[in-house]
Amino acid sequence: MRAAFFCIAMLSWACAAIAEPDTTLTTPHRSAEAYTQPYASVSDPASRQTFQAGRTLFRQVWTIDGGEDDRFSGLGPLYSRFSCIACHPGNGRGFAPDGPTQSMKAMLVRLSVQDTQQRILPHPVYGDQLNEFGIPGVIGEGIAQLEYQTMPVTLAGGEEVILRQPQLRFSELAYGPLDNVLTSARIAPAVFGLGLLDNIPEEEILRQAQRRKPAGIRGRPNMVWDIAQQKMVIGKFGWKANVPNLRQQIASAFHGDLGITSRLFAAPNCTVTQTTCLATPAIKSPELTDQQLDEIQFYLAALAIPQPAAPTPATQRGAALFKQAQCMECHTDQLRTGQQSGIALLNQRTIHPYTDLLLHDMGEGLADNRPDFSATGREWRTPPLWGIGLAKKVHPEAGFLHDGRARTLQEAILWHDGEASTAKECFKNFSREERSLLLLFLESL
Amino acid sequence: MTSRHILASIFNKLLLGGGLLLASLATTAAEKVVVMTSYPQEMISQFETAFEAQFPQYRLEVLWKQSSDALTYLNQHPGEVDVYWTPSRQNFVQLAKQGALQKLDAAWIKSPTNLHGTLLNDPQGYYATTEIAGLGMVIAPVAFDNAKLAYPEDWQDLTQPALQGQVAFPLPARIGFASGLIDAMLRGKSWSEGWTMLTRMTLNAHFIENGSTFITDEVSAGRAMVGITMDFFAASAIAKGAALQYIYPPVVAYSPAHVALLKQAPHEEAARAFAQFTLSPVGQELLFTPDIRKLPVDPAVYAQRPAGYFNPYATPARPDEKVRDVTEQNILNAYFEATLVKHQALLQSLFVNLAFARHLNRDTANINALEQQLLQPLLPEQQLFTAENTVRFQSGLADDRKALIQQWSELAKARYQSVANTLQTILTSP
Repeated sequence: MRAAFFCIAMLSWACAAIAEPDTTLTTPHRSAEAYTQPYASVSDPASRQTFQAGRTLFRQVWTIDGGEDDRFSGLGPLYSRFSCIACHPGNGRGFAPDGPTQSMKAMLVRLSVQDTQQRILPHPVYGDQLNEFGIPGVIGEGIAQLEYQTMPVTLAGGEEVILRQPQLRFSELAYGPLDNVLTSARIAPAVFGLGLLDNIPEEEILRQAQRRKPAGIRGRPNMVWDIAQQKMVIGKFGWKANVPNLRQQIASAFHGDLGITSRLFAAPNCTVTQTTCLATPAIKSPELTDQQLDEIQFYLAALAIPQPAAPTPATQRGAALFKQAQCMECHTDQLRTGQQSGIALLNQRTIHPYTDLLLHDMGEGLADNRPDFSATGREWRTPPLWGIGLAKKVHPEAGFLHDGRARTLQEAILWHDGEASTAKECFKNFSREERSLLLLFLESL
Repeated sequence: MTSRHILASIFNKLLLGGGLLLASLATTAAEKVVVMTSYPQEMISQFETAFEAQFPQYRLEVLWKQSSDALTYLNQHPGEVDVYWTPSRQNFVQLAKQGALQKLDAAWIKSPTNLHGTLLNDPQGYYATTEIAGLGMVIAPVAFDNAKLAYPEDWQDLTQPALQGQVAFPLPARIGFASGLIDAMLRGKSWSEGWTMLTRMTLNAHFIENGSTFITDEVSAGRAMVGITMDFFAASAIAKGAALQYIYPPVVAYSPAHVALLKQAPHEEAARAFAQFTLSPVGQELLFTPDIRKLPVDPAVYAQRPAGYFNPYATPARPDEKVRDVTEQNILNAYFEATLVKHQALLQSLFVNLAFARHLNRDTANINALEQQLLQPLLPEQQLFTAENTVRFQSGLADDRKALIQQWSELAKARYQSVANTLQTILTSP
């Protein structure tokens, strides 16, 4: 009731806030290819060639060692999928299986344990990620399956929405039991606009943290280990802002998901107890060369943001409701980039990602109870919302929230809690028409 | 309540603490089927999802190998792979010859023996075609409209001078999907007519060494008005919003892809299920999905095809539909590259100078003769497809093959140089 009152009280000053698209940073494509377009300025032959080389690497199915062409070899010994686009179909979001009989095709399971001193460490046998597959001669670690409990939520006006709470289980564990393990299932995020987010300076993130917010909403940065700089910095990437920059994110995914080493992750993804894995020789080291890493980084940094649909009175009203419900307190619509990008276009720009890149307590329902650097088990980084309206067009199965449990944007909103409980309650108490308008606004992004 | 529900209930209780998993419990393990393929991720993902939905008792495990590496791997690791499923006819031919395959169930195969001269299924029954792809032309209609040019309908139309530098042409000796291109272009023409066309096409070509979607990129970005590419690359780009149009010429180069069961398949039943699935109506109809866009091989499933989808079985037969075998196609491709592609710049310059000489009204008869020299094939057809050359291209005699290709290139260079010298004399004479 209190939240409903707050929503109504806010109505008087809430106003539409659809940002004007910056056409130099956006692509007009709103098709299934919307997430695959480069910035228009990436048109000189050298940039185009690097972009295409990076795209090839991103789309390439990687293979085990050997063969005439070893540019794309090095898969495994243990791996989850064999290409980047397996988890990022159409450069978009991954998705969760609908039940235990379906395998995980576009998501992964993070693993860790808490030692007696309360430190969070990779699992001593399975490492920090379950790899279902092994190259010939190396047994895959096991199978992760999701099963769902459903729970109805009733909205104002009597509309009922069925949410599904995932429960993780393992089978065919090849290296012994997974006792007392902390787990976190995660779908892959969309990969456009990453060059801009990578170029957000720490001061801007700290400014977001210090910004005055309504009671109950906080937001703080995660402090994570930067391998290249060998120091703790503010995290920007990953569901818990657990990765410092785009380059480390790419290298980490190659290592964790494909088992491919790079200068940043030089050791194979085997734990000391996985002896067959460790004994598997690599024909080159690192398997992903610096040049290849440069090319993929350029490709991902140069992927433009889909231009939002032209505003209509309905989407403008939806934007006002989005703001009225306090969604914009965390899904901030304006950030300023720094000047560290190798792509000049991305420097000193005002962007509209709808994220503050901060961690927020999202409540018990979404908690994975698996801390990650300074993020607690209840905290998640505000995910960007730009381009989110095209998620299903890019891939019809695209899921929402960290583990893909939400099949629609409405379900995703209804899972919000903790610092976002007021926003959720506002949404629940909106009329059916108001909820539709707010969703229409999101779909226009 | 089934045992699965009971188990789920136990899990629910165990998992109330969020992500803390207290114990791991075993469930019935799905039997895996190991499939070797070189298909792209989109194709694999679609088949993986659909196969596992229909056969939840099996789990697809993909061993991805380039076609050039597959045979070596299969020979060195017998008993590891169940199914070979890929577009590479020569590998299937070789595996059958080695006795490495087991016969497919004839009842699974719904396609005819051949399609417009392209052999689809192994007459001995060891491998079968699962899908086909056609090689044709992708155009940017707006570019043609702006230039007031008619859309090309046949390969010959790519020789018109207005298309200079505007034809994105995949190099057939380097890009697998284009390996049947030169053969298709020559089909139905005399040897002389064919090479005249290829020479003129070389003048217009913007040769592309990388495969995949690079051709459609070139055309949609306006760097070429027309490109030669596989139908599924273009169809996929069009389905996703690119302003392109695909044109099948009267002679299409079809690339069949096959499936086979390895004789030493370790997961026999699962292997049979997957091979049959690729040939079944469900597997065949999957080929229509926008991420794949291949041509099914089962004629019956075309009844369910999306609007406007090409049906190769509906195109009329032509009098000369003989498709050369892989070795002959490889010889043609190497010869094309050595004698035309490699000397493209020189050829273009010679034709510019021929036009200039004509413009100056110099020795017209001699100029025409020089042009004819450039347009005629260097070697007669029978001299190209000798038994010796076949051996060089079939065996591992890489040095012999390289020497032969170099010899062709030198021969071409000598001819072009000779034309250049004569032309220079004509142009510099008073």
